[in-house]
Amino acid sequence: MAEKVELTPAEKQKILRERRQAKMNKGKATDRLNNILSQGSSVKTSSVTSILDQEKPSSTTSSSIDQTPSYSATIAADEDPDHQDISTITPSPTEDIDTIFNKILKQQQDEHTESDPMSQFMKMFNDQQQQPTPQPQETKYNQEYQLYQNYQSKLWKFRFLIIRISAVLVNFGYHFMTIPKFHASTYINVRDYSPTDANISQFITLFSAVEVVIIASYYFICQKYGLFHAANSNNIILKIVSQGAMFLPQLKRYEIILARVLGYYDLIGIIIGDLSFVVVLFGLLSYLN
Amino acid sequence: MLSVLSVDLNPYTITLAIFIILLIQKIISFIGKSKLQQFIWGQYLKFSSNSTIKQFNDKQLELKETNRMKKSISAQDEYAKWTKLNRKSDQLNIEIQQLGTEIQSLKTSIDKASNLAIMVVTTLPIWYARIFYRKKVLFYFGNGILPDYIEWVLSLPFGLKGSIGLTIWMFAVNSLLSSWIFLITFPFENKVEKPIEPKETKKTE
Repeated sequence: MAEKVELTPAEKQKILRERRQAKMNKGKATDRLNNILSQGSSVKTSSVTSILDQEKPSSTTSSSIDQTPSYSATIAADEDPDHQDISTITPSPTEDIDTIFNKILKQQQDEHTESDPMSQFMKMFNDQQQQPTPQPQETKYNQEYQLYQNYQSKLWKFRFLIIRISAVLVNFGYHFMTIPKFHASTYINVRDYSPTDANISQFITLFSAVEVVIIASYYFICQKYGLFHAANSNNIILKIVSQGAMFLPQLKRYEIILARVLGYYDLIGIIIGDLSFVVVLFGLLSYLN
Repeated sequence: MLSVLSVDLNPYTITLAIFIILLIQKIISFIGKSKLQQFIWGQYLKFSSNSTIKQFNDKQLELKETNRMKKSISAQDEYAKWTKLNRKSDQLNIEIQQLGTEIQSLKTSIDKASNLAIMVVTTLPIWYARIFYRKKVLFYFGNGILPDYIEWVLSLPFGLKGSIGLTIWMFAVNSLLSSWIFLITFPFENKVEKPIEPKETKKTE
């Protein structure tokens, strides 16, 4: 008696494949398919067409396929597909959330035009994202430096105020004591239009000269120590404009102009303050006449 | 009808009065209204002949004494005495709380009265002057002291050139008083030293 030869799994698969191929080559794939689909029912209801009986694809592709000799052997229906390298399919290892966000924002930037407020907002947000986060030490230093600058601004104002008051008092006192017509009165006859003493106008000349010197010095010192910026940082109008500039970048230009105007307002305030002092002195001493 | 309420005052009287009122206003705003009210209330408590307040002060003194005696004895050694003192201090606390509630309503009325007094002294006269003396000339400058254009600006809004009206006078006084208050208070502010810039940490390899 002949011994049974044990077949290896590969050989078994090969045999099965060849049988299946032989059956497919016989044809009538559609009939066999419809038989399978309508199994169990007395009436054959299925009317599908098997892919094997369908029109073959274009010649270029089919010829390339047909010309490959081992094509049918390699692409068997029941064979597991080759192990695929999924590294091309799966996404790259988790990217940094910031990088992903930046990509999205950049994409949005490219899509929209400059005039779109939303794109401007996203651009502003993106810029802020890209800015490095300040260290806590730096933040603390900036806050302390701001306080220091504010104190310095007040200190210089205090110093100049002493100089201004002294200058006005000396100038006023000298002319009040030496020139008889240098006074104010509740009566209109003080406005006597007879020729005035030439020295009477010295007061305003000296006053103007001293004011020019004081303002120039104050301006120079504030520019040198950056005190205008410190004073303006507390200004509410400037704060509102800078907040608005986050949404409307056009306001940035006006912010610079406004900061300059506020600086000049500070200087004009010196003249107004000193003139007010002169008016109060005249007013309080007007009872003497 | 409004002219009935007006009083014909010497211009210098108006000048001086406005100066003093604005000075008081600046002082009050500098001190703070709440602090002023606390001060007035403290003075009232000290000198008031109100029986509730006297009772309140007496009860507080009694409570203070009772607590001192309670702390001086041991609860274990003199339990009866301690319990008696404890009961007394609880009773005093309740009475003080009740009196405190009554006094609180008194405090509210004192605060309202002080608010009214501040308004009568500072705000009302200013408004009165603004309504009745807005066109009144307070004083005139001597001829030639100031240039024409400065005299014209200072005479705004109603006056003749070379005169000073209420508006400019009030502005000038306010400006001067603000400067003087800054001059007096700034030396008492805490000095701020220049901060030391943080050194950048270098990465060591």
